[in-house]
Amino acid sequence: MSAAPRAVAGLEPARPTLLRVEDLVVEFVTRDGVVHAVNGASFDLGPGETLGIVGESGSGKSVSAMSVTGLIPSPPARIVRGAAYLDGEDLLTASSRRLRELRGREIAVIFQDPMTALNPVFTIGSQMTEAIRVNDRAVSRRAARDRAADLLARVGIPRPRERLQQYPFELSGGMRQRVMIAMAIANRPRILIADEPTTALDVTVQAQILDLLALAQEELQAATILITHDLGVIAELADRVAVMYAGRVVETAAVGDLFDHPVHPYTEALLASRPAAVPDGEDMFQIPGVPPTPLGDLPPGCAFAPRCHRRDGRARCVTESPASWDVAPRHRAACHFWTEAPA
Amino acid sequence: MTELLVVDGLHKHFPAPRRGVGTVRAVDGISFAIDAGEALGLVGESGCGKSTVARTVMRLYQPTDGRIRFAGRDITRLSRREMRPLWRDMQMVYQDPYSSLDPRMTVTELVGEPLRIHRRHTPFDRRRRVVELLELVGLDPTFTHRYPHEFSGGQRQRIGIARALALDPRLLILDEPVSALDVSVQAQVLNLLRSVQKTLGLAFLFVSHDLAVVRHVSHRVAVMYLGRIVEMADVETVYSAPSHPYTRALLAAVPVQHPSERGRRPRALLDPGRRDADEPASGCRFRDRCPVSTAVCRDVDPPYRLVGPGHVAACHHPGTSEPAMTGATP
Repeated sequence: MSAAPRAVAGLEPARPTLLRVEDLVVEFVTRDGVVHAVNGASFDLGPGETLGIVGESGSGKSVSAMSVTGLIPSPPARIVRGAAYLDGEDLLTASSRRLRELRGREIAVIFQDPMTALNPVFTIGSQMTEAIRVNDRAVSRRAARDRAADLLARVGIPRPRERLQQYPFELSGGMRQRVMIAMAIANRPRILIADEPTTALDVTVQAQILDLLALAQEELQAATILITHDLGVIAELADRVAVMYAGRVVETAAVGDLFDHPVHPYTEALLASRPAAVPDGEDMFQIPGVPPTPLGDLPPGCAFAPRCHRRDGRARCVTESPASWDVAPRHRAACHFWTEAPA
Repeated sequence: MTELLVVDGLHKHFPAPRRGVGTVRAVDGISFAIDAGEALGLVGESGCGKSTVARTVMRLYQPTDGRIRFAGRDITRLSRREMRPLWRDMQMVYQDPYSSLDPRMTVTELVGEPLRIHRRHTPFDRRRRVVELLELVGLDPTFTHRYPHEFSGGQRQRIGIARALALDPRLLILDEPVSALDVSVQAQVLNLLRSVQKTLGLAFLFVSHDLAVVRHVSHRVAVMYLGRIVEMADVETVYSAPSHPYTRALLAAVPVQHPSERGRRPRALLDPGRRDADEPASGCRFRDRCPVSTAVCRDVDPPYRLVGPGHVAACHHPGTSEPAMTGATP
């Protein structure tokens, strides 16, 4: 290595940052022991930007994004280390009252399963007017209802006045997700967090919701954190991507760079193992082994080492945890041997 | 090639859950055949009836109407007792490797159970066969005394596959076999399934909602919509020259593979106001969501027609290229 690359530790990014998460460590204390959900994750979000966080189940993608909302129950969760700044305000030390205020106004969340996020015993109308009025008591009930109907129309729900009278169970999964999006954009939040927003939906409905999210974002100019296991959803919506593995962000890059020049071997393997990445009738690239369980002590070294095609038996991968390197402008990867990535 | 499985005009209706009267026609007149050694993919969205087809063919459900022939024998009305010897030749792999394996049984017991039930082997031969099967599905044969909870989802699905292969079946019915697995593990299990299909010359009925997964494992593909097969052809034809507007909508809805392709997927494909369960009373069941429907679609249920070699579609206006889809693009 002659170019002497810089290892970056919390270096200030040279562009405006709305939300910054630094070296976050979150554990869950369970009966079976300590679950290391997030092991030093760092990422940032610019105004109006869509950051896709991609990873498999248990990679820590939801926990790291949700910890900034105060929606991770503590206990059992424990934020061991790290910070999360929204415009300079530390969210991890904010009071629950302040977080509630932020969630109503500045940060909105869209969950995978709208059925669990909507209250089954209240009509769509009463839940929406409540969400609108909780932020602005000056709005009359009638005005809030008008606004709710208008929001439903904007997310493509036909006959919105009738829908306001209905209960969540009377709507299809796609319709419920539209209601969730309408509620999320109701107070024009600055940050939208969408946690697997299309995973529970059929492919034709997924396409509609992806289009709707893209439109909502265009209109709101809200910065978005999009949490997903699906690289197709990333390809559709993300501006930048953070790839998580075993509780760490192993690579961050602009979406085009990530798909064209993946540097971390996990990203490279994940892209190659998609069924569509190989011609019909050929075997897919397969990553050997399984993702590590987050339960118990963390092994030293790189969590991906046992499954890595680049490691080639080198001891450093299992003895030393790799730093996050600046591999190109605005492109970082946590691999000792990142210079060996395919060009 | 010889036809191993022939399904002809199959219906499976269930009593309506809440209304009390009427029926849900989960499978509503389905016909297809699978040759020995052939993999047929059955693809569709949730509620289209694809899993009901799998279970009815397996004779876990009693068909309401129609006929099922397996290896030349009519099995439509056979009793459980009469089916038992046939289940050696047709085995099922389930979606959820967590609930489909008995947690109190070791791997040896799980994989050896079908051999014991069908009294195929002496205990010694049985153990040898279990080791052979574990090696075949890529599991460490020294794991024989472990229990399901000691394995990951992908490994459990391998155990399920080993169990299904134990009696040398001729047909494997797979119901969403990789849908519950992590992305990085799906490829392992799909490669394994492809390899056993090829090396053992098995026939597959491969049921999935995932178009990319079906494409990878199947020789031919059937697309289901509301209890019917709306299109069926060899895999290349279905994916590169789909004829039915529903198949085209389904393919167009798949997210792009690369960010540079953004916007290539046509927006607002199907009317969001419609629920799949709102089945029209007459005519084509897709007509209310269809971008090319006309008056005839309202009145007449479209019959299958041959639109190319080995390519059938149930549509009054079968297409061969894009026109239907570009019509829906803003």
